[in-house]
Parts: sequence; structure tokens; C-alpha cells
Amino acid sequence: MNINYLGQFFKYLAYLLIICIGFSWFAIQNNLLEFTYTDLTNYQLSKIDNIDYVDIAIVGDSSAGNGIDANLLGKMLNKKAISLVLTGSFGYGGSYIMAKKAIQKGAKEILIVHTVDMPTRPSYLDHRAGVFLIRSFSDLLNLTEGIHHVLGLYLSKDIVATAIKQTFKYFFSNVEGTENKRSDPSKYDYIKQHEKINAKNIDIKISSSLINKDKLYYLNKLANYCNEQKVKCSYAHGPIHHSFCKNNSDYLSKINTLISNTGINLLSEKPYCMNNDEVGDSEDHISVDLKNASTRYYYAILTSIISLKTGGSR
Amino acid sequence: MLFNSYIFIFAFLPIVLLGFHLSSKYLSQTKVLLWLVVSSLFFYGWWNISYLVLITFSIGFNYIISYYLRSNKAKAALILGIFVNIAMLGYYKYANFFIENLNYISNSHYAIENIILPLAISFFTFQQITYLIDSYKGITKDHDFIHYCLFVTFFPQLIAGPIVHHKEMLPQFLKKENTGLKVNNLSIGLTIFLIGLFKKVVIADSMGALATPIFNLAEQGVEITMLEAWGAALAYSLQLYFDFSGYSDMAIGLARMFNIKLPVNFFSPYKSKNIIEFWRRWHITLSNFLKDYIYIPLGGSRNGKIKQLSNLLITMLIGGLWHGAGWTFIIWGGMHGLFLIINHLWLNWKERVVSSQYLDKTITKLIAWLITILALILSWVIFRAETLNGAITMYSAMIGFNGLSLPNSISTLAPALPSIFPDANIMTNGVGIFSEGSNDAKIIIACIIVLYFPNTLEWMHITKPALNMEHFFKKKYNYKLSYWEQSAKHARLMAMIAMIVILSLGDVSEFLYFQF
Repeated sequence: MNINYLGQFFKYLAYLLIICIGFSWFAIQNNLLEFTYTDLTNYQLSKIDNIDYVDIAIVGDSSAGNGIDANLLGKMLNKKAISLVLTGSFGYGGSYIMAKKAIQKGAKEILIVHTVDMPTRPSYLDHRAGVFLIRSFSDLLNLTEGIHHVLGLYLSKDIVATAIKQTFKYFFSNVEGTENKRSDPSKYDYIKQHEKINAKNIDIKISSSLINKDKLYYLNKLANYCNEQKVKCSYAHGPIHHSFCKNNSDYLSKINTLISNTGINLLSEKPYCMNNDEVGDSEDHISVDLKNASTRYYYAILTSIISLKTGGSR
Repeated sequence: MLFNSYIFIFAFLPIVLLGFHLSSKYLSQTKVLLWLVVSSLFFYGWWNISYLVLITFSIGFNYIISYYLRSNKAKAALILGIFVNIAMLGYYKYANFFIENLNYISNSHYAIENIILPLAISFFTFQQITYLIDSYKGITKDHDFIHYCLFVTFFPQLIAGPIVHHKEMLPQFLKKENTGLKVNNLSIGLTIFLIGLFKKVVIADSMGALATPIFNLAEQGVEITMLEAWGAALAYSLQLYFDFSGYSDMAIGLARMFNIKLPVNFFSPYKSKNIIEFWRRWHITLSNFLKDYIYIPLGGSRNGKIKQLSNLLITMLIGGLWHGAGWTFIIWGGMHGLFLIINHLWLNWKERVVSSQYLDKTITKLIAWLITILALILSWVIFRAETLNGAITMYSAMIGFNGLSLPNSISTLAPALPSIFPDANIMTNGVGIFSEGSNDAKIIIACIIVLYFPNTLEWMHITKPALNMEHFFKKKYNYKLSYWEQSAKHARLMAMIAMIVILSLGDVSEFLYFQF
């Protein structure tokens, strides 16, 4: 009777686990969950896997994806450049993994570009980056955090609930994966932008009390890795609406200190400040037709044409 | 390492259980207990490895002093032992509080050090002080060092109690038949553990999500409305209840997996009809400690009523201070001391004030319960507040100084209320988290569980889940929910509960009692 109780318990628990993991797995495989960006990660990972050599790799989030044209930058620098940019959901953890892969392929230079509010975002996103990018054991960032987030991903009530809902919709309402609605990353070397927004009323204020120091964990790891491998790693802020540049000198000075303290070379203390008409589909995405202009800006700060201290603030 | 973390549930616990089983099969009993000591120290060190030195020093020091006390009965050694324990607790827990107040009174500027409070220091210090005193009295026996280590560090109760007594624990560790996994105890322990985990991750944490934003607003001096303040106070009362009840269940369940029974520490305290009864049901082992080692040595009820009442007040003030170094905790202790004094005076006077024919009536019991629960909710406000100002903001709002914001549902039903009570500052825009029906429903469900469901120990009473339960089982099991047995039906129910718990483990939060 006793053994039967435990046996029954574990049998039913196993059934329930299989059902929940099954739904999560199906939803992730079919891009039914918003945040996984499976097409983009697969595109970027296959790009680095299939390349023979690379001189400079750009890693970071969507502010870089929309703001830097790797081909153009490469031509200007006369080097082989590739973009391995992901999205803000992957945080510094995602950049760390992609930079490591590029360095293993022989990259001698890494440009890290993240949006200015990145240091205020939750650090668990960075740990979870390893879950989406995992192709080898070394991709699992921090082992315990990695285990935590693998389980948290497939067995979290929010994800399982969304996965069940989306899977039923997928079968019964003919819903396509969210990724399919976006675009094919190979067309733009990144995700296509949405409709341009009206930037007239944007007013960005970020309190320095929101800075999450744990967020810098993987930036520190990246700095150490670059140091060990003797690779030149530089950091630049992504383009941002001009109201940020006007209102946030205290915040900016604090994050600059934190970034510089990691040992990574901060190319410019000020970000590229966009006018209203330069803004694309969000306050930190430059308009698609101006990607060349912002790429020239990053070329300038990389080659020190613009003063390191004043940066490209216009 | 938290009981509600993946690493504990899926790695630490299975490994320790496996090691316990294998060592029981192939090694001597002492080595089995050594395995549990090492595992418990690993569990403690996971949080902060540097404090392993502190706990091992504390264990070694107290073991040597108690050994000496058993053979020499030297009062000086006892005083030294107690002094070192209190000094350690005082340094880590109260030094900054003392300096802060000294600076305030004397306008001085002594530096406040950045001292991290070692986890569980209040628990293992009190546990060892009782052992020292009992060694001096000649009550303890010559125990092996490994046995003593396990008595202090046994991981199910190390972090947040119960505060176990050597008389209850050491004989169990010494029993040969308590080694090796027993399927029966594993089933019972796992069931109790899962119920506790469910209380913590599903109920307590969702109550915390309702209470925390309002208490935080109050701390920042933001005016909150009457209904919000009462809602937050009630939500916090439920959060603390399920958090501590959940932890107590998990501790009992985990210990049972290793064939050890822990004492009952929590027994439906919100069903109490007076404060004396509340303290017999809430943190029972702390109440017993305070009674046996503070209240009675102070004189207890031996020197007249006034002395007894002042002893009660002193005991509760110390109890408040035990919970934390802050005026909010001292005032909370004082409030409970006062409640107990009123309760004792009422016991003397009630026969004269109320006719005996009314004392057993349901309405009288309901009024008694209502007064008790109101007193408790009010006292939890200062217990939860981080500062006195935060508590004052909450109390002002509860009294109605900031007006009343009604939920949308009531506003729609009684739109004329603001015009009937023009001075009450009634807003019918339904602001705040308690304007949402789903949040109200969560609180109502939690209240129903507290008041109408059997507690875990009652539900599982046929398994004799904890020590010292006799006091609570004078009545027959009288609930509509059939009591637990090892049936397929209950196995399926527990599998469902386990699944809900696993799905909720992603957002790990600490137990409230970890800070004490």
C-alpha cells in the first residue's frame, strides 16, 4: 500500500510533467512565444558557425541591429565584419555568448552595442540567454542559473499557460508563429522594423536608482575573456532619442563608470542622440533609411575620428 | 539554499536522501549521522560560506562548555557560555541598532559597520543556550559531538525553526531504527513537504504581491486610502500565516523523510479566540522557550498579579526584539505584551462582567475571535513596516484619515455613498489593487482555507506527524474534507499539487522568518 502511494504519486506527476514540457517545447519550436526570437537566433548562430574567418564582430541588442550595417562598416574599415546582434531579451549574457563564438572563430575585435537602459533591466534575462542559444555545454552561462532557467523556461506557469493557449490557437485558429509574422532575418541582416512612431512626445528620464549592478555580471565576464584572449573589445551605446541625452546626465555618468570599470573600452561617453525624425519604430531604433548614417557614426568612434570623451553627441 | 528552489528540490534533497539510505545500509550509525551533519553544513554554507566558521565555532564552544558544566556545575562557566552566545547575537544582530540609537541620543557619529546578519543565528543561539542551562541543571546527558552537531545543524529546522529541545531530538538521533529510508515515512514526509511548499509558493507569495506595493507606498509617505490599507494589512497577515505555516510544514515533512519527528510549531493560530490561545498556536516552540527561559526565571506568576503582568510585558518585549533589531519589532512585542495583560485581566473579570450563560454562546465566541483577529492584524502592520513613519502612515490610512476609495463593484452598487457621507472623502474611481475582483477573490479563498479547512497536522493526524500534538487533539476530526490516507486518490491529488508547485518555482522568494 505504501509503495503503491509513492508509485501512484510519481506516475501521475510524470504524466503531468510530460504534458507541460510537451506544450512548452512545441510552442518554443514553433515560435508561438513572443520572446524567443528563434528565427533570429538560428540565423545569427548559423552565420557564425558557417563563416571561415572574421576580423570584427558586432554583438548587442536591437539598437545595434537597427543602427549598424555590418557590411558597410566592414567596407569602411577594410576588414571582414559581421553582425551577431540579438535583442534586448538576451541582455549582456547573449552578447557574451556571441562574442565568445566570434573570438573562437578568430575575431580580433568585438564591438558591443547596447541600448542605454540595459543596465536597469532584470539580470535573470541574461542567465536565460544561455537556454535559447545553447548549442554546446559552454553556452550554458552559469551552471546553476542555467539549470534554473532551463527548468524555469519549460516549467514556468506563465510559459506553460501561454504555450497551452497558443498551441490550441495554432491548431484550431490557424495562428502562425509570432516570428513568421515579423520577417526573414536574412533579408535585412536583422528583424524588419515595425511602423515608424511619432517621436514628438517622447520624453525619456531614467533614475540612476534603477541601475541593477548584477546586470553587469556578463559584461565583466566578457571583459575577462577578451583580456585572456588578447582581443580588443569596445563598448558603445546604441542610438537613443535626444530627450534621453538632455535629461539623464547623472544616470549616463553612472552607467559609464560601471561599464568602464569592467575593463572594456568605452568608445564614447555620450550616445548617438536621434532627432525626432530620425527615430524608427521605437525610441532606441534609428529609422531603417538612416542605418548608413548611424553606421558611419560607429565607424568614426571606432577609428577615434570623433573625440573619445565627447563622443558623437550632436 | 531555499526549500522552494530547484537546486534544493531536484539536487540537494535527492542526493542527501540517497546518501542517507546508502550509508545506513553499509556504514555505522555514527557515519550516517555524520553524513547528515556534513549535508546540513553544506546546506548552511551554500548561503554564505564564510559564516560556516561562525556556526562551527558556536557549536564547538557550546559543546565544550556544556561538557564542562555537566561535570563541574560551575555557575561562572554557565555565565561565560551565555555571555558569549548573547555577545555573538548582539554583535551580528543588534550592534548597528545600538550604535544608531546611541548616535541619535548623544548626537555622536560612531560609524555603522556593514554587518551581514548570519542566517538562523537567533535560532541556533537560543537552541544552544537552552542546552547550556540544562547541562548546568544536570538534565542533559553525555552526548557524542556528532549527535550534538546534528541537534544544532539538522537542516530541516536549522534556518527558521522550530526551536528544538535536546530532550526531543537527541533520543531520536540515537535510535538505530531511525536510520535508512522507510517508505512509510517517505510518503508521509513528502506529502507534508508538498503541502507546505504549496502554501508558500502559491498562496503566501501571491498574498505578498498584494501587500508589498501598498506597504512600500506607505514607507515613501504616499497617502493611501482606508480600504487599500486594510486590504494590505489583511493580505500581509495572510502572507505571514502561509509563509510560516508553509515553512513549518516543510520542516516537519523533510525531517520525517529522515525518520525524525519535529515538534508542532504552528497550529491554526488565526482560529484563536484570545491572544493567550494565539501564542499557544503561533511559533509554539518560541513561546515555550520564552516561557521556560525568560518568563519563569523572571518569577512567572509567583509574586502577585502586578509582577506577573510586568513579567509578561518584559517577556514579550524580548520576544519582539528577538524578531529583529528595530523599534518596530520592540513596539510589536510591547503590543502583544499589552494584549496578553488585557487578556489575563479579562480572565479574572469576565465572570463579573458577563453572565456565565452568555460565555458559551456562539455570538460571544465570534466576538472574541473578531477582537483577537483585529488585534493581530493591527499588530502585524508595525511588524511589517520598515520604519515607524511607514507604520504611522498605514495606521492613519486604516483609521480613515486619507479617505476611502471604494472598489468599482461597490461604487456601482451604491453610487450615492459619497453624497450621503460628504465628509468621508469617498472616492468611487476604484483605484488601487483591491479594486480588482480577482485580488479580492484571492484574499477570500485564503481566508476560507485559514478558517474552514483542517491544518496539515489535523488532515494527517493518523500518521502522528509531529511531537507534542496531544494538546491539540482533544476533539474528534470534524471536517468535511476526508482525512489523509495512503490511497490512490490522495496520491493523484498530491501529484497535482506537486505539479502546480513546480510550475510556480520560477519566482523564488525567501521565507519571511529567514530574517529573524
